[in-house]
Amino acid sequence: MDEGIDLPSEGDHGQMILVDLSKLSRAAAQKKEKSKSAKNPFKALNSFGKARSSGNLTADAAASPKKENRSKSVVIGTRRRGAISIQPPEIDTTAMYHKFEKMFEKTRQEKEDKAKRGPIGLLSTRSRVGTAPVQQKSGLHGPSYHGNVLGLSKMTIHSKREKPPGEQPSQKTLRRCRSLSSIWRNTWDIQPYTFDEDKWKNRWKRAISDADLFEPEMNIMDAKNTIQLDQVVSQPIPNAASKVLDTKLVYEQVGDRIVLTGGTIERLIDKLVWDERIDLVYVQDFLYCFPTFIKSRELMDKMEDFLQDAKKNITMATTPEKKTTAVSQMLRIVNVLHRWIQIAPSDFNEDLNLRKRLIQMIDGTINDNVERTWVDLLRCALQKRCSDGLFAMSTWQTSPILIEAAILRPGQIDWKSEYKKGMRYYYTEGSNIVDWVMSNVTRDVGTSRQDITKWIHTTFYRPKHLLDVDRKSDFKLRGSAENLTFEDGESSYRFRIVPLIRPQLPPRPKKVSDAVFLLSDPKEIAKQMTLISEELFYPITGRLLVTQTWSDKGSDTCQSVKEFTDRFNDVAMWVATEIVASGNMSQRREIISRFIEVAASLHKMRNFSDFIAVMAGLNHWCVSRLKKTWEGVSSKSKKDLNALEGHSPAYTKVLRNDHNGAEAPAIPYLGLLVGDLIRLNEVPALLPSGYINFGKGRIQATMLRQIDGYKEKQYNYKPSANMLAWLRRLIIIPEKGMATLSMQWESASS
Amino acid sequence: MEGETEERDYKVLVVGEGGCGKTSYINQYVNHIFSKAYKATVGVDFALKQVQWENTRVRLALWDIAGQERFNHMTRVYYKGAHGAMVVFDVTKDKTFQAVPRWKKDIDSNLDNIPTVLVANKCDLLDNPLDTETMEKFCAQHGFIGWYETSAKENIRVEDCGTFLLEHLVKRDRELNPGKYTNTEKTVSLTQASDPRLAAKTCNNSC
Repeated sequence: MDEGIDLPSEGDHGQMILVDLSKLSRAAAQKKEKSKSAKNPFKALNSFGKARSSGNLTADAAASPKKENRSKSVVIGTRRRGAISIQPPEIDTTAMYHKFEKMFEKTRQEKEDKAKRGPIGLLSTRSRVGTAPVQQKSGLHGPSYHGNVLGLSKMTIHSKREKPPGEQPSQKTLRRCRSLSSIWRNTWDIQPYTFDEDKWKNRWKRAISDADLFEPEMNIMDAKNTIQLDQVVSQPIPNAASKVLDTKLVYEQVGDRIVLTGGTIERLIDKLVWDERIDLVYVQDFLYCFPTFIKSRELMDKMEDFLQDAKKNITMATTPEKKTTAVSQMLRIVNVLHRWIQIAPSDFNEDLNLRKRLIQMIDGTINDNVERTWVDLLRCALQKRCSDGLFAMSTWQTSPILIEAAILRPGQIDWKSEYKKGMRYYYTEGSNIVDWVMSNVTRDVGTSRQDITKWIHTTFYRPKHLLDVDRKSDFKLRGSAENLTFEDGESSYRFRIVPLIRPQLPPRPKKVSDAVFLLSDPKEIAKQMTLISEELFYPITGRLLVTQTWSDKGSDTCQSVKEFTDRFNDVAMWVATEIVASGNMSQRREIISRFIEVAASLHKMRNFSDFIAVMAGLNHWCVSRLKKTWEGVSSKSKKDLNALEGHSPAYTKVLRNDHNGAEAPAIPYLGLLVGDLIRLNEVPALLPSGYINFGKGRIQATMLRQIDGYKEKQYNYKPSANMLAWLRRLIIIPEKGMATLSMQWESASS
Repeated sequence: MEGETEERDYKVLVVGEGGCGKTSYINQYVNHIFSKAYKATVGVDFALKQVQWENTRVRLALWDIAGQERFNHMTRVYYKGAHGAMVVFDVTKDKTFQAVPRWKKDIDSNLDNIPTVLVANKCDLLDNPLDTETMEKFCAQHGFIGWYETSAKENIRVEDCGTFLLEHLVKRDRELNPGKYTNTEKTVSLTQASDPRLAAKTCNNSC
């Protein structure tokens, strides 16, 4: 389809195209009538439309206010028009359709042949997932697996146009790439010193629709398969347990349940795969907590061994039943890997060797022995989860993006040492990176521009780099680059991209302009605060917390946790500052009652972090000592405050209940979780018998699952640029100054 | 005697920089264990220690702010209604000692002159004991009622330190509420009545 339709016109590229959905679907319906059997290219379009209108995509950020418009027209991304090309309505669709027909006829023939051969497998789920099994190697991407993995998003489309691996892209493709490049440049061109909210909103919308284009099909497929895989895997295998008869596991009765509390490492790992009946909750718990007692590398070793065993069993199987059992066992391994990717994608992002091994397993043994659906499932999960950029994109709602990077290309040299010697930077803006990658490292990332752009997206779109980015000149390169590496064994290229550090914030305003706070709606303030906190909470994952050492290097904990706590402390100080900075008593009273309103809203929004920060600010001694001011605060506000105090950490039980009962989206008060994790760390990792203390692991897993659960949904408040700018740079008077002011307003004697 | 048994609840804060062993200290004091418990009890924010003191049953609620010290303005919410406090620092880390005055100031600005004891934890890792004179000077300067060199790991003087604080708590309570205590003997005889189950009483497992 990439080559199918020419782009409308070069001039349009920077613009969004509004396509009347009703027209499109009507056109599609007409075509369908003409040839029902043909899997025409509109299928993709339809599914895309469906996915958008049903709103099940995470990126559907600005959903609520735009709903009415959406029913009529849909904003469709410009940049990736290649993936799902939208023809302007005036084009003769019939002629277009015949063109497609011809073009895909050959490919379809090939696919049917493949389907006849069929993959090896025991479960006939293919019919449910769709009659078009995903092409394992979409030709355009060449032999490297990255191409495949990255190319999956377009599988419904690309599978229809097979090309021998390694073939150069046609002239047409190149032309398209060039035009896309200009779109891309237009889209991300930055106006450094002006901030046009509407413009950014539009860009954001485009980014959103691009995110949709990445994987509309996949979301659906993944969801379907997860359920099925669970069902399949939890089927008992009668003689599976025979492999491990020694029960080196300890169970204990807790309440009316019997739970696993310990075992040897080997047995615990065996339990993931070899039990007669698989306990899916156990699998999840294990994958959450295993870093406390085993390295991910070692677990991967084990999984490889298991895979070899399962493979042997399959080849040795004499009867169909035996083969079924053997394949089921392999499916259990697939299940464990799938869960692993879902729970801790960072494992595979940080350890590229691990990722490579995983992909080798998927492409090798698993691909040869298991139904293709499951293989695709793994690949989809890997692509989706291990590119946190996509998630970040949908989380990111408030900041403009600037892509800039430095690329090192030391060939096969150990670049660490090379870096010290002073490497040459290829300092370039985002769109040029695409060009650079296109001309230099094509085989690594995939051949199409889309792949490359996407890869850059996934590498860069992290909210924490984007905060407060509005002055281009402030950018500096970070001395020790964050390890955003990308590397492939097949290729001789290695390079890394150095992310930009956050520019230094402008100095905080020295004077508190008391009007700003009182002029703003408390609810709106709460919403914008929530958006900021959400951004900061996003990178704090369960896996990040379990690998933290909380004890000695308390202050050196990872950046994201530190940023989050710093924000908390800033908010608390800001609340106190706002109150104390006002010299007028009645104004102070008003500010206090407004903050109580803010706190109430925050609590309602389940933003516990900011809620408690505001409460802490109200409880600051410089504020609480202002007895006269408090006396005059309206009784309604005081009543509200009393009710809210019941939810503050002084009443931990209530606070815990709030946290446990909170539905996503929510932002927890991290202090509570960290405190629990520290106390849990006091519990030894081994039982007196020398077994692994899995009881501890289970509790850990429960807590971490909760943290990840809060992120399942996102807040979809409308960002307001002005307010965000104000709330990001909170004005804070240091404690000494506040004490002086507080004394000034109400002296100690009175 | 039994009919006259009185009950007293005291809230004691345990504060200090992160990683100086507050949780271990409380575990040792209340449960007499240093990381021996294998049953995880998550969600206990304070541990209860029951002590029989003459005809009064004293319940010490030790508030552990583990992890909260990162949220520096947060701790103030915990301070509410505390009767006593322990400021813990790690003798092997000077930074944690440097922070002691700040913690003391925090307590003083939020609470009205409550008895506070300075705990020099992890003394088992120290080759030479701390200089008594310097420490006493430091205590007098910052208004601590005393200081103890302890080791939660080896259970060195953990109990003594608790007893010392309790003595002051009771003394202060009597001064503030005269007449509540019928027996005004000065002798302190503590009978151990610690019940580990109490520690888990407030457990609110998140699972």
